[in-house]
Amino acid sequence: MNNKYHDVMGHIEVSDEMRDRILKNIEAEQISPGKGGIRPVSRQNRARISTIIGIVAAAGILVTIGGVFLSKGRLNETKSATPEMQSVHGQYNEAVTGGINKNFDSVGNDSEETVAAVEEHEYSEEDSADNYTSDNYYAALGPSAGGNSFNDVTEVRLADYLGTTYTIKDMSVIADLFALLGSGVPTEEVSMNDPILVQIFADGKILNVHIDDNLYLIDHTCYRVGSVPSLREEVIKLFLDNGDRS
Amino acid sequence: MLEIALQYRPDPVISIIKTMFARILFMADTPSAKTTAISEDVSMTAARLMDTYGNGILRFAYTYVHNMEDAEDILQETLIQYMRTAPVFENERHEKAWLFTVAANISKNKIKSNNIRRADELNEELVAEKKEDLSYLWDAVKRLPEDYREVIHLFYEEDLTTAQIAQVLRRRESTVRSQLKRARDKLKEILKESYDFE
Repeated sequence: MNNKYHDVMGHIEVSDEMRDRILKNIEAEQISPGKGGIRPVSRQNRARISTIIGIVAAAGILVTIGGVFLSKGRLNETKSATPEMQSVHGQYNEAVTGGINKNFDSVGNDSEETVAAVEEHEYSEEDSADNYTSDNYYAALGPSAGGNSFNDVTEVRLADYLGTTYTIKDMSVIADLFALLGSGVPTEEVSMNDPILVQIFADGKILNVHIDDNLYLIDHTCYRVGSVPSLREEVIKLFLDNGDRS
Repeated sequence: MLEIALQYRPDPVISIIKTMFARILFMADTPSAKTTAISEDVSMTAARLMDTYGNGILRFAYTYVHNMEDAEDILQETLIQYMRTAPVFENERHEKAWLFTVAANISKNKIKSNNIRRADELNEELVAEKKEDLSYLWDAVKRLPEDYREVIHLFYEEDLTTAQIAQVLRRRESTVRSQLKRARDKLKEILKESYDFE
């Protein structure tokens, strides 16, 4: 087999003509670089860029910090299709976050307010808010990835990886997956060569996440993850180690 | 779980600011990569790559597209990718693995876009030279699934170890080993054991 296969492949070689042709094309590509071409950056420009980066970064940090403080009041607010739904979600969030605050405020002090907050949850009309104790208030709010937050994740799947689908239903492992995705920063870079498909089953829907190298694409937005050497490999490892094969 | 749950839905304004910030951070890295890239003479590098890996990449690409013109395009595109990204390697083995990974990705993209030609010059040449046994073997290899063809080629033609193949194809080594075994079994089956396989 070995020798025969060498004999077969021995018929395919880079001819002198082909070599010259390719080298010329590469040279031409470097002279008039297209997208992603290589060009030197002068020292002066580098200094200017560094200064601009410094100023913009400082301004960006201030604006980000300000934005975080301003948006604190809207923590865990979810998008709703109609004003009615917004109202329901608003009440739900208020009930949940209010419950947390009251519970934290009254640690070691069984006041009437605490009891009232817990009772309010137990009789809430929102289905998913039923029967939550203070221990799982956080879990009830659900994980988020790429700007999407989920209230009820039932399972995640690595679809058709080398012909096999891996399913994870263990919430602690699912949390690990969201911890990886949650550190993503939005980017316009969407070039993916060999993406894997992860499906999130949540809130009665399936959301597709395409992952390659350190990028992931979710709901038409691409995110870059810098916390691990390769997000793709980390996610595959997570599924291979913990997923049920089918 | 607790940390995840505390994350909030980002405002559009905050998303834009984050995007700007990320871009600025990436920009800061770009100049050094580019200056590293131009330090090596482009023509010399291209010629070195062509002489060292040209035949290997061309043959590997041929196993995907089965025609010379497309294989040549893939070889050229692989070398251009190298020039554009100017990657840094620990050793030659690492460099080879990188080039073959890129060649595999470009080949698969080409096949996906259904933009490949139908001619198979290798088969025509083998038939013309009346090398029936080789033609028969090539036909059998072509009929293998892509996953199997990749490992067969890298193992027998490029003499890579299963660990190196796993690195190139981004698979687990155990997967490569089992695919190699299955590929050999499949080849035997295709050749109907009438050919001296071993």
